[in-house]
Amino acid sequence: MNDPRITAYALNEMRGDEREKFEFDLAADTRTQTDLQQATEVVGALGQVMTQPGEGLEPQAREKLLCEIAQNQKIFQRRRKIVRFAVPVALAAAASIVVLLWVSGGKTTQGPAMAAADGAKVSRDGNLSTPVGPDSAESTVSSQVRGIDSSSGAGRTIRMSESGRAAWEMRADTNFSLTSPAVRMKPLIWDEELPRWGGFHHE
Amino acid sequence: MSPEQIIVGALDRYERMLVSYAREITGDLDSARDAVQETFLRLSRQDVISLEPRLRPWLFLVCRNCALDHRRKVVRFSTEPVEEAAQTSEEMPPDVRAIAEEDAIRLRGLVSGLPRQQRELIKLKFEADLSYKEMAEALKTSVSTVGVQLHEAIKTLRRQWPHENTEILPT
Repeated sequence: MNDPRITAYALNEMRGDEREKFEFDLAADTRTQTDLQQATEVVGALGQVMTQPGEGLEPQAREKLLCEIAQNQKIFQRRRKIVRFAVPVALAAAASIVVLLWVSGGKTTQGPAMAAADGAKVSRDGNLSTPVGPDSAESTVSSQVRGIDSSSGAGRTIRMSESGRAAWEMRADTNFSLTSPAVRMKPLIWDEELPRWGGFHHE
Repeated sequence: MSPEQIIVGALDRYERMLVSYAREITGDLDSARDAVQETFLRLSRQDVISLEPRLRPWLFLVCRNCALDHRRKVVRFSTEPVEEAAQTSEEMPPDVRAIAEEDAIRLRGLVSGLPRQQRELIKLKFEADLSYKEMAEALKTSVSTVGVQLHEAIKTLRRQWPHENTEILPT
């Protein structure tokens, strides 16, 4: 009888419903019972004959293998540590770049202050200037932004002062260079009634 | 358990099974041993901790690939019965042991006459005690294919093996 379930049952490979179904069929079919009996005999004989241990590796080769395994594991663990450190750093860097690109790409949608801020200029000596609004003497909000690229002058600390309650965030990062016409500014608080322009200077 | 301990434990446990299995594929003991060494070297370059739950089928899969590589290099595949000394229990009486040895040799002869894939399955099942699922993973095939092929193998052996007791099992 060509039913793979017979062998699967003899090898104890059937579980649950499948097993119950087979046992139900088995009870009604003497041919299947005979086949199962024979299969069980063969499986039992194979179990005795085939499980005897054969030959393994030669002792010297085994010793050498164990040494190489230990060595490989050391290398693997070292690499794993590096990867564990490098992956988050790389991800963080990639995320930063994405955020910067997104911020710099979205400047036109950030209200009149942003468009106005595009008028800010960076001079050759690294000084920054921006148009100064009419009401620049009220309260002052300062923030410090540190740029990254020192060759472009962006590596210096820049102090930005601003009038009114409007606070400004200036981005001076890798995108920032002497040739860049714009210092990107983003209003953190914006109120149409507050003075728009503030001055900032470079230390 | 450290990764190294897992590897050494696997070597202790599966070394002989893998050599026997690889020998089935390569046809000679030296190539089989080389394949097993290569298997464990590959294992030592893996993330053993994450591999541990499915270590057994992985070992047999990689060992099989290594053995097939060796077989491709040295094109000599023996279909002769593997000459292994019949090892039976020392506790058996001599006459029973003689019969058991004779039976063992005969059964091994029958197994060696099976098609290669079926022989592999017999080895994986009875020497390595892999489940159908693990065998399917090791051979990169489906569980049903394993079931059908193993059934064919057992059916062939059933026809050739003398049945001492063909009484119907009580239900």
